[in-house]
Amino acid sequence: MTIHRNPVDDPGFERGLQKLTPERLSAVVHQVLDTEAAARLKIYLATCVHCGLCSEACHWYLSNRKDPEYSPVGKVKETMAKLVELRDTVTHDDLRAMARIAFTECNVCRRCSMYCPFGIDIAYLLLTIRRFCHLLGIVPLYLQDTVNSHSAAYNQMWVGQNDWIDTLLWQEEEAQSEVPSAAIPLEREGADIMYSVIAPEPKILAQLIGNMAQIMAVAGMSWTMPATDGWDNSNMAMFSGDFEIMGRVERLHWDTALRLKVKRVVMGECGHAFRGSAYDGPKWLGWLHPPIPMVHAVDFYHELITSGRIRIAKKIKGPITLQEPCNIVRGLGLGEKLRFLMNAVCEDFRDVEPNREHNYCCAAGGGVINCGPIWKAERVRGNKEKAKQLAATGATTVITPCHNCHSGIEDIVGHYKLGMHVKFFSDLLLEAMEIPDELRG
Amino acid sequence: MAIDTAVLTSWDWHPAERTIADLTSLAETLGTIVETAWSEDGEHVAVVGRQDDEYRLGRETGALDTVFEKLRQVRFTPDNRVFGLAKLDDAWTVVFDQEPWEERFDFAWNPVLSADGSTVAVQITRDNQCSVAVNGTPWEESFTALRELAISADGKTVAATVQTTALKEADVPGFFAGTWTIAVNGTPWEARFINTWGVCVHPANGSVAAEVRHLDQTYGIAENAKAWEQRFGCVWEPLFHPAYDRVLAPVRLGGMWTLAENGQPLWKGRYHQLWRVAAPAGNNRFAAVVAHDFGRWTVAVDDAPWPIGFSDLVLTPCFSPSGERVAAVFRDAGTWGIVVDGKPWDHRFAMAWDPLFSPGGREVLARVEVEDGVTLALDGTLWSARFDTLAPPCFDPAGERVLVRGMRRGHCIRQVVDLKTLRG
Ligand code: SF4
Ligand code: SF4
Repeated sequence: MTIHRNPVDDPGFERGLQKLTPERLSAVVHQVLDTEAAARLKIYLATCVHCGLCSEACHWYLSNRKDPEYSPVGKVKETMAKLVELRDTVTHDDLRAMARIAFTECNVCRRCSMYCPFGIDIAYLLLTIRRFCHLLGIVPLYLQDTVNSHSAAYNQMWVGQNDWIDTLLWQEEEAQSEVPSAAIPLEREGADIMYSVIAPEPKILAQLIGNMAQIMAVAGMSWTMPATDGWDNSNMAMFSGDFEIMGRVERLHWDTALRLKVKRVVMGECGHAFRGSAYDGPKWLGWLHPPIPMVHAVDFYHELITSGRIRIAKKIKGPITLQEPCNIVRGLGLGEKLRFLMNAVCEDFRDVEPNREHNYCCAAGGGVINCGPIWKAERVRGNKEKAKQLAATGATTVITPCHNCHSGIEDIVGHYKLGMHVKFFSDLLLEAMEIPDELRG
Repeated sequence: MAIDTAVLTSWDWHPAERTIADLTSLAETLGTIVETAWSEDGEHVAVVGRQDDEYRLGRETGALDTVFEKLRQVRFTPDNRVFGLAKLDDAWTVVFDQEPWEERFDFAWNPVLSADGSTVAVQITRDNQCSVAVNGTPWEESFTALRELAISADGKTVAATVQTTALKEADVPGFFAGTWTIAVNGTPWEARFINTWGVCVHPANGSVAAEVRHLDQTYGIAENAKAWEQRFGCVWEPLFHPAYDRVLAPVRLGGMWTLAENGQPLWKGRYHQLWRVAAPAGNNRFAAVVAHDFGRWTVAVDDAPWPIGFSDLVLTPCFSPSGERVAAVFRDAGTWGIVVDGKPWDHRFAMAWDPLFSPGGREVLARVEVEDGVTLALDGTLWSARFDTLAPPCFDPAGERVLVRGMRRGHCIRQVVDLKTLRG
């Protein structure tokens, strides 16, 4: 089957292809298919009956006029099935197509697995293709640059240590202008909580850290943030197939929490970062589970509101809807808590349909948005379905408790002219929560 | 580094409790107390107070005069001088007591103090270039990036991971051509690597080692600018034996981990994980935290894992001074504990800090958090006193008494207790 896709040239693919030798290709095929890949790879391929029931699950398929090439099973056929069949006789064109499909046309959102009668983990098969491509050096340029940043700077946006600390000091001042007793306690050994975030926060959305400083002050929590590397829990190496860098990033994140002697890690509003820190990273490092508990912001806000530590003073007006991050809703089951939060702070919460674990991915997740501007048009076209879903709610604001969702939904809102504001939940909470007079100074 | 016996002997070891400072009254002149630090001998306390946008340093005797725009990470040197990072006139520097270094920087962070207290090195930026300032003098060389710092016990060797070439946005080929190396006292090694991490300095002889990612993306260890010939699937940070000229590092071979020396596997055991390597000054041994079964953590001493395993984690092993005995913090099924020579104490805690052996190696002491506060546990027995926080405890040279530095309801308390009292 020829793939009828808009031509997109990614210099990241050519970088690896130019250097590729037949010996290297053979060695990597052997490493991935015969050594690293779990037995489940072969079982999945043998089990698939090509029924196509997974197709309707995939937003890429639905958004691309139900072109079977974008169906999950179609993507596997052109990638893993082909690799298993052809092994080291795959051509450069095959490799280009495999890399394109695996990196840029699958968000590893795992929606399709719920629709497959055998529960075949298609995302795993495509992630294994990414591992294969990584070992060959065939990785989208911008995704690789993000991974390089993880490796050199232990965060995904090349944030310098000086900028990190300076931003926290600045955001502490910002928070204090609202709540004079607010603080961002750096390196406070023995605090209950280490709060970890992802690099877009210090880089471009610093106010989110200030938001959390106010929330923590009002809730009276004992918390800290590190003044060292190890604060960024995001992990694009997990999605590029570079498991060695993935493990290194997660190790430092956990070691930083252990150094600070905290009881648990609370992380900001990001979906894949939860997955990396709680599942994929620990597994590669030899843990069955994270060494100390990790709580996603959605879970944490739920705890603060239900325990009465945060009181809602006024609900936000206007129709507001929700983008549910796959990794915390399908992956972690936070759908109900998210709805509790939305109803707690919104006067007019408009739910999406389908929802909860059946919700559609934002099309940015799984490392796809990190493939950069080269792929933006394809990505936005690949989630027309999401635009339809959001538009049907009639909302004028959409809440995205995940950084990838936030950026992806902003692109979709812009492209399909949805006329919506895209916000994080903490933006709403800050507007809605009661700040007791004694804390206002 | 252990505190010198002559210094220890000079401290007040009379069994008594004294209040060194009252933070509530200090707060009246200093504003909100945002940091506190103890001197090693427990005779002094330094605090940082914030009042609106002004930060001031205080000692147990009261507030000092100088006002800073910021003041953070305040600590004591072994000879009881206080230093910290300060912002003055919109520039950063290091301040000793009230005296700032002459040199000012766009930013300064991560101060490291040599074990003998002679040297403070700090990471700095000027005009978007990174460097290190040592005792007030910046290195002549500066770098695109500089992220990790290590210092020898005598302060004579300061080493850092540095990036020597600036790259344009998304210059992936440039990055893979190798831009990182190690700089020792400002001078970068000749070789370039994709990455360098885990830089460490031999505490005595100033040798420097680090993890490197080679240009072919394999991993290795480099010692004094020369890389081990052998390459690995992954490595973790190397460790110098404090008393011998040996450097070891965890390496990943065929998907499993082991401990290697000079490029060759030293241990026969292959583990799902191996990290947190430790070595005692007293003898020629090594211990590490290993996962001998997937998800089960323990300590291996000279490649012999303890039979016991824990589900959550084990922290870096701590040796007795002679190196004969080993203890470590563990977490199992959600609670913290202390394991000594493979045998866990009965008590479980809300938190546990690194255990400390008495000078003769017979007793093991640890800071632990229980329901109603922080306290000490000696050989598994909880002391009856409770504190809000405790600084690391310290044995007297005879191993009969312990110096306690704790905070209780806003009071900084120095207490010397004998072991009998600790045992209740
Ligand atoms: S994007 Fe989601 S639904 Fe589509 S193939 Fe990938 S994992 Fe399956
Ligand atoms: S639903 Fe399952 S069995 Fe059917 S085509 Fe998709 S992956 Fe194969």
